[in-house]
Amino acid sequence: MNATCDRCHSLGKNVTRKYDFREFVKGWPKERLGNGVDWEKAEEQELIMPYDYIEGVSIKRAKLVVQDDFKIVSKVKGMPNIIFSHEKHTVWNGCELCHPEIFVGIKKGLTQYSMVSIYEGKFCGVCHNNVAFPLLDCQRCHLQEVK
Amino acid sequence: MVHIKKILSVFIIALTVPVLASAADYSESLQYLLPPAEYFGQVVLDNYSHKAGVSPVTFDHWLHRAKFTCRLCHIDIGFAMKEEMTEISAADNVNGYYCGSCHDGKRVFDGREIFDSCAEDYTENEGKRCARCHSDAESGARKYKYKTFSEKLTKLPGNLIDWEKAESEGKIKVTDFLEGVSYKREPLKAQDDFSIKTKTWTADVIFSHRKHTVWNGCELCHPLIFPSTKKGTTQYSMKQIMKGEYCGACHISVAFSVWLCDKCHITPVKQ
Amino acid sequence: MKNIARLFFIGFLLFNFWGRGFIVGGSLNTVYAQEQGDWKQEYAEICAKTQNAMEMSVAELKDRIERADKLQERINKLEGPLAETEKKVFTKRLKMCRELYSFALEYKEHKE
Repeated sequence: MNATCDRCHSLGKNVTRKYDFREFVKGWPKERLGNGVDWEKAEEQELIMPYDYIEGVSIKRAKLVVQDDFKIVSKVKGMPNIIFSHEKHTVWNGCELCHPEIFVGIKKGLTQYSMVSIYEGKFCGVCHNNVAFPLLDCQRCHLQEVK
Repeated sequence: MVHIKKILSVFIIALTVPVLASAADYSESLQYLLPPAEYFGQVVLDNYSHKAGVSPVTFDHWLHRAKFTCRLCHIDIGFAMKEEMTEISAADNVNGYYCGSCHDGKRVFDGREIFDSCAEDYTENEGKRCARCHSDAESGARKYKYKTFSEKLTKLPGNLIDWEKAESEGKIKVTDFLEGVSYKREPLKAQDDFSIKTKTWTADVIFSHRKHTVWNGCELCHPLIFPSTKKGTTQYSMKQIMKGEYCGACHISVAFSVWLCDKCHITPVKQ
Repeated sequence: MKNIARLFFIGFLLFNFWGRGFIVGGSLNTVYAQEQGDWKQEYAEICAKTQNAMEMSVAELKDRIERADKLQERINKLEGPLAETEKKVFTKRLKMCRELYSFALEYKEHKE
C-alpha cells in the first residue's frame, strides 16, 4: 500500500493530510456547534465559491426556478414554528436531491414527521444530522414565534 | 396471617419515620459518599497531555461555574458533557477554540486579561502558565484557591456550594453571552415545571424547567440527554441516574449531588 | 444474384459480430452499435429541465418520463468494458431525474 492510497484509505493509520481543517478555516466566520464554521456566511463573503457545473460531468440544465418558502407548524407547545426556505436549499441541492426520495409528499402537509424521525436521519436529518448545520441548533429552523 | 402482615407494615412505616426525620441532618453520612468539596466537579483531561510530556489538565468546574452559564461553555463553545470526550488539543486552543475561545491572552473579562492557553512552542519560563491548568489543585500553581473562594458562600449538606443561593444573594454574577464566542439567537420559551411520579416509596420529584433553563438553555439537555418531547415517554431509574445518565449527566458532579435526595424528591410522602 | 446478396448479407453480419460486439437479434445490432454514444446525449436532453420541472406542462412531463423509461431500457442493455460502471452511474442519475418529473407530474395532476 503506497503513500498515495493512504491519503484516502486512512482509517486507523496515522496519516498527515495535505490540508489541515483548522488551517483551512482560519479566519472564516464562526458558528456554534457542528464544525464551528458558518458556511453560508463564508460563501457570502466569497471565502468559498462552490462550483455547480463540471465540464464533461454535468449536463447543461435550465435555470433553476425557486419554489416558495413556507411555514411548518410545530406541534410541541412552546416551540416556534419552522420557516423553511426553498431558496436557500435549492442553491446547493437543486430539486431532485430531496424530491421525491427524501420528501415524497406532493402537497404540503401530506408528509408528517417528528423530531424523532429527523434525529434518526430521515427527512431533514438526512443532511442536518451531519454535514449541514446540526439539529442541536434549534433556532436556525424554529424561527417563527407562536403567539 | 393477616395480623402479622399488618404488624410488619406498621413496623416498616415506623422505621421510615426516624429516617425521614433525620433526612435533613444526614450531612455526616455524606462525607462517605462525596469527595471533598473542592474536588466536586473536577474533571481530569488526558487525551494528549501525557503523550506530549505534560501533566494532565485538571479542570475544576467551580471557578467557571461562578462566572458563566453551563450553556455558554457546553453549547456556544461546544465542550462535551463527559470527561475527555471533547479531545481538546493544544492546537485547538491556540487556534481559538475550546479553552482558547477565551484563554487567548487578549480577551478582557472582569477587568482583567485572560491568560493565554497552550502554545505551539513553549519554553521553561512559560511552564508556570502551563501549570495553571496542567497540574492538580494541590500543586500550588493555581491562582484561585477554593477555600478562599467558597468561604462566604452558603453551603449545602456535604459542604457543597449552594449555587442557586449564591446567585440569588448576589454573591456571584453569571454571564450567558460573550461577544465573539456566543451566537445571538431568539430565546426559546421556557417550558412548564412538572412532577415525576416515582415508583417506590420516595416522594414524587418536582422538576423545574424554569430553573434548569436559566443555566442550560434547551439544547444542553434536549435531545441528547432527554430525547423525548412528551412527558412520560422516557422512563429511567435512579440506577441509571447514578451511572451518569439522564439527571446524572450533571447531578453526579458539578450540579448538586444526587445524594441530596430532598432537593428533588420534594412533595410530602404519600400516606 | 440471390447468392451474392446472401453472401453480402452474411458478410455484413459477420463484420458486425466481429467488429462491434455480439448481441442476439440480428440486424438490430447495428442500430445499437451506432447509437452507443448517443444515449448519453439523450440523457442530457431528457434531464436538462429538472431545475424548472414545476414550470413544465403535464404533457411535457409525461413525454420526458416516457423517454426516460425508454432510455433506461437502453442503459440496461449496455455493452463493453465500461458498461457495468456506466449502467450503475447513469441508472442512478436517470432515476433521480425521472422521479423528479414524476413528482412534479403528480403535483400538477393532483392540483387539477
